[in-house]
Amino acid sequence: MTDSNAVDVRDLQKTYLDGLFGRRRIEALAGVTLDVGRGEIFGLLGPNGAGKTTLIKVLLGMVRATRGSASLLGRPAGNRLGRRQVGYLPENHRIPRHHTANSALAFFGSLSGLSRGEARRRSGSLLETVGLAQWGKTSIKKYSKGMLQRLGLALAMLHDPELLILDEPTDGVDPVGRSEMRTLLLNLKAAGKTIFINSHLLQEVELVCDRVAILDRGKMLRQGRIAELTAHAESEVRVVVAGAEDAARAAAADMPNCQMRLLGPNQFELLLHAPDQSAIDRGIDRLRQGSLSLISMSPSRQTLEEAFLGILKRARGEQ
Amino acid sequence: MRPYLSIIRDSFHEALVSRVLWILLAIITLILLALVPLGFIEEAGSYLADEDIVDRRQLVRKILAQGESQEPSPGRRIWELLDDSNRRLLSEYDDASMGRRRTIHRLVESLRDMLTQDDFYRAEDWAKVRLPKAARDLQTQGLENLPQDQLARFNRLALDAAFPEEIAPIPPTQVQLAYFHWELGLTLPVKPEQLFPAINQLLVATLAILLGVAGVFVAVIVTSSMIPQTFDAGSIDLLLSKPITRAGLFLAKFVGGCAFIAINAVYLIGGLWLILGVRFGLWNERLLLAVPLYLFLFAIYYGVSSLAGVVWRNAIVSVVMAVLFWFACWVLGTANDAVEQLALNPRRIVTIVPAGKDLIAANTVGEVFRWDEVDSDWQPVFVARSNERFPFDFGRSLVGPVYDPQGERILAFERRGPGFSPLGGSTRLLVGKRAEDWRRDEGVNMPDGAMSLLLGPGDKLFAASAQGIYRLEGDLEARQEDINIFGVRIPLPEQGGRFVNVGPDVQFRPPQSAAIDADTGDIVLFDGFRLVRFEADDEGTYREAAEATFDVKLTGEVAITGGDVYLALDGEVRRYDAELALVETVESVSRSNPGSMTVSPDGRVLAVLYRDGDLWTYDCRAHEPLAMSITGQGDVSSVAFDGSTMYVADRVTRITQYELADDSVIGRRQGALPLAERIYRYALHPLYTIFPKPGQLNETVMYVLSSNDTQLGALRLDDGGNGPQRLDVWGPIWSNLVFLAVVLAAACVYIYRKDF
Repeated sequence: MTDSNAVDVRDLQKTYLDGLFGRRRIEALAGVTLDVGRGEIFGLLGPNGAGKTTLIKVLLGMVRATRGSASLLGRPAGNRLGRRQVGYLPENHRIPRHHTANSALAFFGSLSGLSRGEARRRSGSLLETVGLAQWGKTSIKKYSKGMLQRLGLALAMLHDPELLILDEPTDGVDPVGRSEMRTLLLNLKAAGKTIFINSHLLQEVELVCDRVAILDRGKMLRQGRIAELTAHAESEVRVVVAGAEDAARAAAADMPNCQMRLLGPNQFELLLHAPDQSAIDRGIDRLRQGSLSLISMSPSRQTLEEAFLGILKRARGEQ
Repeated sequence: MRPYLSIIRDSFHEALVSRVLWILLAIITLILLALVPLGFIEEAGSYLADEDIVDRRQLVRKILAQGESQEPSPGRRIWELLDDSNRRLLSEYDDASMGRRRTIHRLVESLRDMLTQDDFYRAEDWAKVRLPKAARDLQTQGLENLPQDQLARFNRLALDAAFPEEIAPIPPTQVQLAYFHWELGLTLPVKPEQLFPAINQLLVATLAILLGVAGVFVAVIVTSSMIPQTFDAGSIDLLLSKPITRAGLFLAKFVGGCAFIAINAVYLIGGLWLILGVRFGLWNERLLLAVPLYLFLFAIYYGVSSLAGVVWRNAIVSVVMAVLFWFACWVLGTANDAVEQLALNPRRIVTIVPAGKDLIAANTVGEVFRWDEVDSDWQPVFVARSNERFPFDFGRSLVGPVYDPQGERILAFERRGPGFSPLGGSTRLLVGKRAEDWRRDEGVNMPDGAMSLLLGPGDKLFAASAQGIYRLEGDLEARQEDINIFGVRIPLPEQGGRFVNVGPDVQFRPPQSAAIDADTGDIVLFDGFRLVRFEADDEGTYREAAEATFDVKLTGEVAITGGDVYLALDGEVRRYDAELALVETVESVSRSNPGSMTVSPDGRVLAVLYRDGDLWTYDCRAHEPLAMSITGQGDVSSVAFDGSTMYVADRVTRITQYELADDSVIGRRQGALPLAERIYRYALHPLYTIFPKPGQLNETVMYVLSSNDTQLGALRLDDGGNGPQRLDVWGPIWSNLVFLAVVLAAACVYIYRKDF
């Protein structure tokens, strides 16, 4: 079991039937395939209605797949033993309002098979971890949305699961809380836990995720490491030089597809489009010939958001 | 199991945190606190009620006579203590036509006042009266030393001794209902224990309203949000991600919801139990069994509410569905009963008479029909003339008809029930001859109090009554003339045939059942306490040949064949020999009282028809029950034999004919169904059958409280000597349990298949 992926999805389809007599068909997942290795932080991205939550619910057995297969920690999706090793933080979760944080942890701990003593023992440190140590005995009716989100995270982690599935975990959490949550997730990863994040906040995902997948209208558009998704198809090198403006303009004019931008007095940024290393070398030589001083040189990248929007745009354009 | 126990425990937690629970508990506390001061004050018996004056006229006359006399006497003493207006009322008692009851009431009120006075009794006034021992004992203690209730008792005993024929004696104790120490003015001359059955009944009625209606309604409203909230998006996601099953989650939540009402029910019923025990001395631990029963009642409605909550996830819809369910149950039950009572039962065939080549049947209201093969329907015959029926003469019922093959005629008579009968006069034997197409005609007068009509050997006609056995002598069709005086018919002396008393000369209680041996002419009568076999001597006079007696009154039917006498009772049939020595007791299947017992002409097959519509057959030769396959069991209303076949009536007007040799059905007669019956049979009754009957659980509560599975006397009178009606104690439990299981299973299946 331990050799298997944490999440393994093959050609997963889910079609909802809607309307009178179920005559309207809504394809929430259209043949999705993905895998999440153990110990990694995986981000599932996609616009609203992409099928992200449906995919998670299929993994947890709340929704039955129409076709395809999915497994969680080596067990079929929805398997009760598999769920024992999963901690889930749903989007817009609702913890029964008659609880305090302590009683909620005791209740959900017992649902996960923990004894009351065990749940109580873990509660203290968990509330400390999520920043609710002072609020354990307070009715959750008095909690803010961010506090409820922190408590939800504590509930997901309570039984020390191997896999955490977090649906919009930073929803309603303030920037400090987000930072703390990032640290927490990285610590969990360091402890060998697998984390499956579903989020709209691409900056957050970019900061913590090892790999991501982009889903749109039930279809898998791309998946891979963030560096792979954000890298341009053609190598671009960003070069910052200092020297005479005429010399810089002349050098830029000699190089194909080179763009120049003034950064400051006698300081310029040149974006070199170079298909290979020799083209880069030639460009650098040309700059040196113009007596320009090389201040910095780095490969150019796009943000995850740019990459995400670009991928979506291309996918929808093709359709 | 731990997760599910946690869910149940969490429901308790939710209930405890809920303000609604505390509000309900506070209301129950107020109710209980309000009841705590209620209790009995037991005191020496002295209370004089209007009903204690058993001979009013005589009492008034005695008081008047003694009052006018100068000689000291109790009446004289009473007269002295009466004020002028009461004296005048008493003096005018005989002349007053309408105000006598008021006079007695005023006299009793005055006497009650006198009984509390320490100078009511004066030895010289009671000089000629011997006081009872109880009064003498009190007297020896010194009347001036007696507390008020003992003094009143002494005075009452003295009054009873003075007017023993006119005033009912007072029991040693009386109880007074009190609130704190305030007497509520309801004095009952009984011991507290004698009031316990009444208290139990009052309790059942109170609980039926307080818990059965109001409590359940409040509970459904309060708990209606629990299931929808659990299955709300956000909540259910958290719960279903845990290693628990969906059905387990739902059922645990359902049980948890019941826990909410359990807290209230335990508190209310436990409190009532304590109050009854401490304040009234009625420690009825069976009352505590009402807790699970009312919890079960709630569970039925909550099951419906929960199913709606799972499907629609809306608390308001849940409540509305529970209320609609209650309303549907009520409407169905009421409509079903109404159609049965008003449209079906009057038409139900209760007598089948194979009359040669014709088949005659009579229904509950005494209408007689002949089966018409051509029209395949029942045609009315033997129709009463319009002037024979008084529109409100409900007390009448038709006895018979029986078929006299020799005369090719059917014979019957109308029995008058107890009470008012505006037509008055005597009852005539009714005769319908085949030759006259069964036209009804009047024959000889029936003996007074005739209960049944028996056709003996040689087609001799007998009638049984409380006065004995009567045999028809002469021409039964010889019509007697009578004169009509102010609507009362008085018969002139017999001119033709008549019923002659042929014994016995002893008074009998009104017989429940009578039967005649078709071969020997022996007659058996059963009156509940005695089973007697009569046999005729050479002159045809019937004498008591054997007798069996019973300590308690039984309800049953008798039959006699082949020298054996059969007595069918609830759940058993006893076989006696000719000397009425018990030979064996055979268990029958039914749980209600028998309505009739019939023997086949060859004496082999005995058929017992029970009041709940079950037909049980017995082989009188093999002495073992017959395993006949009879359709319509539970709805059978009549049975009759004809040669080697048996007719069984069910479904109101359907008659099925069986071949006794092999149980095969050889004919079926079903008349045209009126619209009301069609609606009942194909829509209303099937729906009613599958619907639960939560309202009937009150019968179970009554049984639990009283441990008596018959309707209590105060609630239902004896049904004409046929014994009290049995309560269906466990039926509602089973039917409701099945319904609850179906509802919960439906909810579980829905949840199992649902994508959340």
